[in-house]
Formats: sequence, C-alpha cells, structure tokens
Amino acid sequence: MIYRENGQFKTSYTADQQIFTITQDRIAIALLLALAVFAVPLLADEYIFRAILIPFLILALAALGLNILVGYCGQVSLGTGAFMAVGAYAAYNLMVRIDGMPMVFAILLGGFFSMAVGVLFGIPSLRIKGLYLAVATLAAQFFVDWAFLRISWFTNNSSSGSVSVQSLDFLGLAIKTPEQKYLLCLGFLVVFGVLAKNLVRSHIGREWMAIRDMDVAAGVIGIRPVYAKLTAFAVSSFIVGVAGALWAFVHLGSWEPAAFNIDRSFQLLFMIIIGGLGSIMGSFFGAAFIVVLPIALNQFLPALGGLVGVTITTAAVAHSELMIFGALIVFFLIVEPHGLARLWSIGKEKLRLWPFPH
Amino acid sequence: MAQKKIGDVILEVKDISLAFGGVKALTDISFNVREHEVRAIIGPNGAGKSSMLNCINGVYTPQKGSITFRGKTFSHMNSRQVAEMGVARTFQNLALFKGMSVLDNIMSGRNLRMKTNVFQQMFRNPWFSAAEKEEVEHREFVEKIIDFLEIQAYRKTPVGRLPYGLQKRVDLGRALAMEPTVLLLDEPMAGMNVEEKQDMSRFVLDVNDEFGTTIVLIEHDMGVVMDISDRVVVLDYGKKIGDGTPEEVRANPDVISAYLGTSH
Amino acid sequence: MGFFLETVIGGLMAGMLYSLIALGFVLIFKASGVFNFAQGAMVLFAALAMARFSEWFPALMGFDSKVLANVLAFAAAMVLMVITAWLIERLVLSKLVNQEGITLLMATLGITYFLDGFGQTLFGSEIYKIDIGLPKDPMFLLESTFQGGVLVSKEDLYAAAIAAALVIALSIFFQYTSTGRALRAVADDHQAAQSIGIPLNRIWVIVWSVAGFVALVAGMIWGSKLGVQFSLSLVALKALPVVILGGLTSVPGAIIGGLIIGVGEKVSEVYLGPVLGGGIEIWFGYVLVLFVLLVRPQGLFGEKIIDRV
Repeated sequence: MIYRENGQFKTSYTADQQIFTITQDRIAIALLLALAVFAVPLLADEYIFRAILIPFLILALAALGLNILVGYCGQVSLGTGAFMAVGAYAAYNLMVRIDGMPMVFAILLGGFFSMAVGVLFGIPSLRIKGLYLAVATLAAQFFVDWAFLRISWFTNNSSSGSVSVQSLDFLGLAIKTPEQKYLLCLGFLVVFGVLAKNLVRSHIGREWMAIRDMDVAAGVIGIRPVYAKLTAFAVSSFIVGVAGALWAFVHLGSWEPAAFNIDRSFQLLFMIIIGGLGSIMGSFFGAAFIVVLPIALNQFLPALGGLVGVTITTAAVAHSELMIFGALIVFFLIVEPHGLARLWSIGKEKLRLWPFPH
Repeated sequence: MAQKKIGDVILEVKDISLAFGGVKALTDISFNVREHEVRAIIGPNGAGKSSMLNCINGVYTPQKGSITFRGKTFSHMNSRQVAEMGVARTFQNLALFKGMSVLDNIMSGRNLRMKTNVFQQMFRNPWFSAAEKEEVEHREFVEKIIDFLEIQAYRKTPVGRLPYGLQKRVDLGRALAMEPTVLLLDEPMAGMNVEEKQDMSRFVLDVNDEFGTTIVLIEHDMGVVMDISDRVVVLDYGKKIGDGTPEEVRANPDVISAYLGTSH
Repeated sequence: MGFFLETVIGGLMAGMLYSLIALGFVLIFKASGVFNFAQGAMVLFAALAMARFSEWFPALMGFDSKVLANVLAFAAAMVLMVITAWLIERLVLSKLVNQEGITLLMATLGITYFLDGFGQTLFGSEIYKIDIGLPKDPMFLLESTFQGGVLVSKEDLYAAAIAAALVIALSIFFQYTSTGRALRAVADDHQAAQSIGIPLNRIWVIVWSVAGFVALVAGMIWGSKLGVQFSLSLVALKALPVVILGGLTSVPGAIIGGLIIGVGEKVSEVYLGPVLGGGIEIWFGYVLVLFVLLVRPQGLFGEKIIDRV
C-alpha cells in the first residue's frame, strides 16, 4: 500500500527516464543519504568506521567499477587487484615526487594511470573471449604484482618494500578523524555512483550490454566492439584505480603490493556476483555482504561455540570462515544466481502488492 | 490500391561462394534486388538462405564474389559499414539482447545516430544536458515504432520474459529503429500461428508501403511468399535454381521437384 | 651448453607435472563444461589426506611397513576423493545445470574456499610429509660429452615418468572408450546428452573422481618434493596458463602446453631473470599465454568458437 505508484503519471520522457522514478524511492534515497551524512558520524564509534564503514565504501566503489566491466559489458576480469595497485602507487608517486600536489588530484590522476593500464590490458579482449580472457587478465595481475615488488622506483626505493602516506587532505582541509575519512569516501562513492548510473542508462550503457548479450548482433546494429569494450575497460579501471588509491591512502595508510593481490581480485568478483551482475545497487549490496561477513563470523562463532561448550581457536575460526564463505557462495549461486539485487527487486515487487498476495 | 513504384537495382550479389571448411554453403549465387520491392528468398532448410543474408550483412565473409550496394562494389562487407549504409536485419533465432528491456533493445537500434560522447552522458541531468535531450529525441522516434508494432504494454519488460511472437516483433522493431532503406528479414514468421502471421505480414507490408523500404525476406510459408512478394529467388544446396515473379517460380519444374512438390 | 641442457631438462620435468594438473582441468572441462578452479584445492586436499592417513594408519593399526602405509593411505585418499566428487555433484553441480559459465566458475571458487577450510579442519594446517620412496639424490648424465655431466634430479625424473604414464592412460581412456565418448557428448551440451539417455549425474561423478585421482597423484608427487602445505593449493594457478595455452578442450594440448611453459619458465628465469630483477616465474607463463592467445584466441589446440547467428 505504501509502495504503490498509483497516481504517479509521468508527463515527459525525461521524467520517465530518471534514476529514481517512483516518489517513494526518491524519499527513501534522500533519507538514506541524510542518515549517512548526518546521523552516522554522530552514532558510529571508531571501530565501526575503521573496520566496517570505510572498507565498505571503498570496496563498494571498486566493485562498482568492476561491475561495469564484468556485469554490464560482459568482459570477465580477474586482474582487478592490479588496477587498484596501479591507482594506489601512481597516486603515491605523484604525492611523493611532486611538491604541493593536492591529495584529491593525486587520487584522480592515479585513476588516469590505472585507466591507461586498463585500456592496454583491455586490448586482448578484442580477440579473446570468455574463460580465455579471464586467464589473460591474470597476466595483468601477476605482472603488476611483480612490478611493484621488484621495480624499486615505484616504491620510491623503500628498503622494506612497503610505502606509506602521512597526511591526508581534501582541498586544504586536513582529514584526520575517522568521521572525516568516512565522509570523504562517502563523497567519492556517491559522486561516482551517480556518474556510473548515468553512463549505464545512456547509449554507451546499451552498447556495453549489447556486447555482453550478443556481440554479433551488436555489430549488425552498427556498434563498434572496439569502442564499446575499450570504453568499458577505461571507465572501469579508472574507478577501480581511484578506489585503489583511496584504499591505500585512507584505509591502509601504509601498504605493500600484497594488499592488491589475487585474493583481492577474487574478493571483488565475489562481491559483484553475490551482489548482482549488471546492477549498481548490486555492487553496494555485495560489498556490504563481503565486508560484514568475516566480522560477523569472528564475533559469532566463538560465542556459538561457547554456547555448546566447545572452545574454538582462532585458527579454527579462520578455517570455518573459509568453509562458510565457500558454502555461502555456492548457496547463493544456486538459490539466486542474479544476486542480492534480484532478491531486492523481488522484495520491492512484493512490497508493491502488499498487503495483497498477488 | 495504387500501383507500387519499383525502382532500379539497389543491391546486387554476383557469384557469391561461401564455404566452411569442406561444407559449401553457397556456390556462385547471383541475383539482384530492386528498390522498394519485396524480394523473397526461399528454399529447403540448409539451402544457404541465412548464410546469404549473413554475407550481405558482413557477418560472414564469402571466399568469392562481390556485393554491390547503390553502385559501390565490395568483395566483403563490414558489419558497421553495412549498418551505416542503411541495411538492417532480423534474425532467424532472434538475436535480441536478453538482458535488456524492450525499450532498450529498440533504442539500441538508434545507436548509430546517437552522437553525444561519454562525458556528456556521464553528467546527464534533467535540467541542462545534451545527452538527455538526445535521449528524449530518440525515445520519441522509438515510441512511434512501439506504437506501430503495438507493444506499448511491454516496453519496460525484459525481453527474455516475453512470448516468442512478441520477441519477434521486438526484433523487427530494433531493425526498424535503424531507419533502414533495405530490410533483411530472416524467417520473420517462423513459429507463429495464423493470426500472428497475419499481423506480421501486415507490419512488413506497412513498412514497405509507408516508408518505401526495400524488403528481402526469407520465408517458408508459401502462402505468405506468394501473397506479399514481388519477386522470388529459390536456393537449393547453396545453388540458385529459380528467379522471377512468384507465378514464374511456382511453375518452374526444378523448384517444384526440389522444394514445392506437386499435389496428388 | 651443459647448463642450458640442465635447465631445459629441469623445465621439461616441471612441465610434466604442470601437465598433470592441467589434465585435471581439461578432463572436467571436457566432460562437464565447468572450469574447475577448485583443482588446486583438490590437489591439496588429496595430498593432506594421503599424508595424514599414512601417519595415522600405522599408529592405529599397529604395523610398521612404510609401503603398506602408503598403499593404504593412497587407497583411503582415493575413496575420500570419490566421496568428495559425489558430494560436489549432488550438492553443487546438479543444482547448477545449464547455468552460465561464469556462475559455474564462481561455484568452483566457492568449492575451493570450502575445501581449503575443510581440509585444514580435518587434517590440520602444518606441513606434512609424504614419503613414497622417491630417490632424492641427483644423477649426472652424459659425463663424457659435458664436463661434470648434466645434473638431473632423479626424483623429478621418476615424477615425470609417473605423470607421463598417467597422461597417456587418460588420453587413451578419453579417445577410445565409450565412457570417454559419453564424456565428450556431455561437454558439448548437457541437455542434449541428457535427452539421449546419458546419465548426467553418474558421468559427472566419474569425471570428478578421475580428476580427483589426478589431483591425488599430483599431490602425492608435489607433496613428496615440497612437503604438503597450504601453498600446494596455489599450484593450480601455475597450471592455468598451461590449460589455456593448450586449449581448454585438448588433452594433447595440456601435455604440450605444460612442457612449453615448464621449459619457458625455467629458461627465462635463468637467462632473463637477472636482467629484469628476478622472480619473473610468477608472470612468465601468463604473459606468454597472453601473446599466444592474441594470435590464436582459442589456444594452440583448442576448438575454434564459431558464433552462429
């Protein structure tokens, strides 16, 4: 009853094409944003910022980028960690080697470097498809892993192999407290979210989806696979690069190449699969799920064990996490291969009809 | 009904031969198509009809032969070039974009005409945006096609959920969105019942009448072919065995023995 | 020159082991159309099982013979792999019939995580030994031609020989038996194979069991060389370029691909490595495969993908 669209008639195509067409949706999003900006900084404690909210925001951004490439354009990429690394190290080098480089600028430029590398490694997608492409993207992952480990110029000849960033700032304002870091990441996510949503609902988005669904037919309509695929790689790796820089600067502070290894790539892939391929909301859902799950297990399992009188060692918790994680992924794929986003839209459909069953 | 004005030859294929490994799909096929006419290609299954369309479209590259479109000759076609020259097609097995809605599928046919760049699209907003204006402009055109094909109720439905007959209409809609001068239809009536065939024939004829679009049509239903086509080409095992008006072809003994059969 | 020969021979033998693991991938892909990312986890799981069983059985049953311990452990591990195969088929594969490739790939990733955790829960997470009596001392060949002779590791030689034998046996199985034919039919089209009466579930259990067997042998060999530890699971990542290079569906491709990558890695590490800063083994195989795919997008021996519209 509350979620009905009755009476909401659109009198122009522009109105019909908006991101949120139903008034209730608009109110909900406005409320959510207000909560996120005003309420959360007051209510959350440092642990929640550091362990949950900030990782969630940054990884949601990375998942968004990956979803554009994999979910909307259908190009499987297993090398996302590499692109995050390029963004992070490029931004780092810019800050360290150029005096007075504003941080936001460095992060965005880091995205540009990541974009260049992304387009380079996207060129094989013009010839190679499917699983073969997935394995080819691993070449990017392992090569970049090696490059940031062995080529000391990238790490400013650091003896330990790890680098760090001292102070963060946003256009002159110092970013020190968890609240400030949180708001910075939130800002990035919202801005890129809107830009990305605009792209996927415009004609470039349709080109991407056409390539994903049937690239032979796409060619017949006049879509150029080269342009579509390379723009997908470009946009995707730009966003992923920015996320990488944010991850390094804001969340980690100091890092080694291992922070962006193949486990990271898999983690992001899981996020978009569980969240929902080809869905912006899905990227957020997936990121939330994957960020919260280990923490929940960490708290929950020992408590559960205590109930049954079994002490669970940290090693056992780690192993159980792996098992539960794996089992959950399989479970999700069986029950809803289209991810949480599909469950969400099914839920909304039911809500439209509520309290009637059908 | 006013007599239709059929123009000069707009598309000509000469000595087209296509083989996949050892399988000869087409051997020395030559025929032409005149502007504004409805040209049917008929023949048993496996005769090479779809392959012929695929060559015209640039999906396959023939080993031999040439294709002349509006006076320009090519040894093989490039899909995008063909689309830009105003040739659109539908597919025998439906090549719809299953992940998109009806509206998006048909809008994708407008792709060649949408010129805004990635940055303009990124900053799209309801108040001041070239990308938004362009999207609305093309949406208006596409809505006319949706009206024409009578699929208004389904425009936001993902095409994968529609019944087969409606999907075929969306396929046609997407081709029409390209504002083609030549429309290649690959078995548009396949799998339809009598009413659906009547509807589809009506759409095809309307397109030919109203917009003067040249139609090249692959079809198995002889009733439809005889009724709506101006001229017919008959293929069998990759070779041409008949070419002429429907009456001429119907009386052709080769065609009868290979395909039509006689009534007993 | 002698050193070069050593490097090449070492590479060939390493390559043979890669081929063995790649074979597991190819088998499963050929028969169920699934790219089994969990192959590495299966190798680890099988190796852990065998290592621990070979410790526990003598203790439990009170005998001393190492040979008997190994044989029993091998058999028990094999049984465990068959059960695993059956469970995977029941709980995962049968529910995902005809889903898209990426879904199945993700499912095998899920299985990977599960097996990793489960294996360590059941068998422990330390480093364990497998001792199947492979000689550890090196031997020197061609001492007359080259000064000092060419150093060849006997252990690697035996390993390569076992791997080669298994590879040949499996190739014959696939090409010349009716089960092999059925497996190939299933790989082409699940639903079509079902409709002509091929029992999909049974076929899958067979295939995953055979892959499990391959994983066990590979795990046994690697385990006896390096010790059974978690990093064994990563050995699958080394085999991936082999699978792709050879073409996902080709058994001879897996063999030749393995040899090429094995030799390529060793030679490039020795000769190119110092120039580039060392440690290039981790990406050499992948970059090589990338360039090959640019020329032949379906790998060296893979089937060409024709899109019919």
